[in-house]
Amino acid sequence: MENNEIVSRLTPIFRDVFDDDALVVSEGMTAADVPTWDSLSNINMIIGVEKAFGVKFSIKDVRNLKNVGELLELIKRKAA
Amino acid sequence: MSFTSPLFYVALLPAVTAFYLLPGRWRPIYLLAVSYAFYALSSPLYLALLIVASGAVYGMGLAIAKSSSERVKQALMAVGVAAMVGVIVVFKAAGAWRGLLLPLGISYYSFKLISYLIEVYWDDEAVERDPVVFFLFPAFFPQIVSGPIQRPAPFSTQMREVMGRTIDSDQIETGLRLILGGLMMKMLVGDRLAGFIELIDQSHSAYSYSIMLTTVACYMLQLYADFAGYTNIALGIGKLFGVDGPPNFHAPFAAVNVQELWRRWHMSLTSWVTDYLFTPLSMSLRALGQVGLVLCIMLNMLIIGLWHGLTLNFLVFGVLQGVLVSVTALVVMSLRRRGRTRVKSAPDEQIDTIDRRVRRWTLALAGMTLTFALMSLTTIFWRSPTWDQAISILRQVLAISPSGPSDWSDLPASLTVPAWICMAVALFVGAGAPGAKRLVARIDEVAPQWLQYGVCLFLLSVLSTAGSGRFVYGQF
Repeated sequence: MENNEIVSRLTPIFRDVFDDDALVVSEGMTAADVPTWDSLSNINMIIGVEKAFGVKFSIKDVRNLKNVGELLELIKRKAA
Repeated sequence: MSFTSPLFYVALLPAVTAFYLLPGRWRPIYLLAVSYAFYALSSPLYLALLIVASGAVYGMGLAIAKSSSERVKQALMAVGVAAMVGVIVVFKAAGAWRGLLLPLGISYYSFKLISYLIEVYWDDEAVERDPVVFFLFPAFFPQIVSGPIQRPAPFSTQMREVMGRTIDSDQIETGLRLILGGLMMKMLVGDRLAGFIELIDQSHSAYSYSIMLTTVACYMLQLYADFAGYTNIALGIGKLFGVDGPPNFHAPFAAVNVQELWRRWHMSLTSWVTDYLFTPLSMSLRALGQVGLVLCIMLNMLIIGLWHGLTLNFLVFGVLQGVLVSVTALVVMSLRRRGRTRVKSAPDEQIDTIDRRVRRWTLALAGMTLTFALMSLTTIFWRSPTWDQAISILRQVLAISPSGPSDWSDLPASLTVPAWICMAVALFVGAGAPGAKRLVARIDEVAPQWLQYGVCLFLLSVLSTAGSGRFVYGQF
């Protein structure tokens, strides 16, 4: 799976969960860049990504993510 | 020794000077000795507990990082966390039921140690091998009395950095400014409100409905002035030693709902509970959907309530907060969903007109008022020493009990006027001090810095109340 493809599949999930129709997902993006990205919406985002990509994350996986780029890598690793 | 006692500051300045005169590698050892001495001054017996707990967690951390088996790591982490939780529960139970005085700062340093164990379990690289830096982390005296609860990595990174540099005058000025601001907030505003509240609460049934409403509104304002004041002092002292602590408050009275308020109130505790309890738990229960979410929030708020003490009042406070936050979270989620479909079907609604701006501001103001009212009502349980007093005050405020005979005219103006001024100041600062930056810039134009500091110190020395000194959060 290419990064571009993952980003384009992540975009609708992020826009829905973080309640922003203009949100542009980038690899360097962090929770600090999105005002509505809190502990609650973070869990909703994880659930959305798990459903969309058919993967299952552990607490450790999620805890160690520092930005969207690392989420892409995690998805690739889990979906492989 | 209290952060409000003049003697403390007489000792602090030479202590800071000596810190920077020492060679870098001696600084943490010196600071550890100072921290243990500070601890021993108020709680000599329990210093041993702090050292033993630190030693045990240090060893556990090394063992977790060394092990290559996930199962062993998890077991070690679980044993360590359970042991620390056990220590807190035993002391809190003894405190609540037997009246035992808690070891100084136990609720704060034990949470620091627990976060360290979990961080090392999550990531081997979080392990701290330097024993002095590690032992200093829970013991660091500016944060021991009532937090803020700092995380291990930012602390050790900053401690290492300060070992390799000389004194920085900006850092000293910022530190002193934080201490001065904190002292003013605590001693001029918080303590005066505390005096007002204490007087009314003592014989609350004698006072009228409007006095009781005002007093209950004072609870949150006094807590804010006291704890935000303390936090600024603690952050300022830490800053003098080169360590920036985490913030505890971010304009809490500007929160438009209870969920948002908790993100702005005692933040070092709420973010701790979010990271180490809420997130792992909500990951485990994510298959349950909204039921799982509500369960997680309830447990989260219950722990925050009981962290203050194992009493019925704190339990009820936690449950009420859990209900408020759960309802808010569900309502906000459904409103967002509805708002999105509406905006999609009528995109012209996104254009900002004066009408809409007025509506938005009115809604925000209504939200802030409702949040403040709900928080004040639930804080009755937090604040009252007994269940009976909490219920009795609640009945008065909800107008179930008859209004008492004493009204405002029966209270001396020397009590009420300063109380009203302090309430206004606490509310203004707690709402993020709108417009204050512009005011400060104007003052800077006309008054030199030394004059500003001089006026602050003058006010502090002239207006402090006699009973100053006790911090509300020092009891936890």
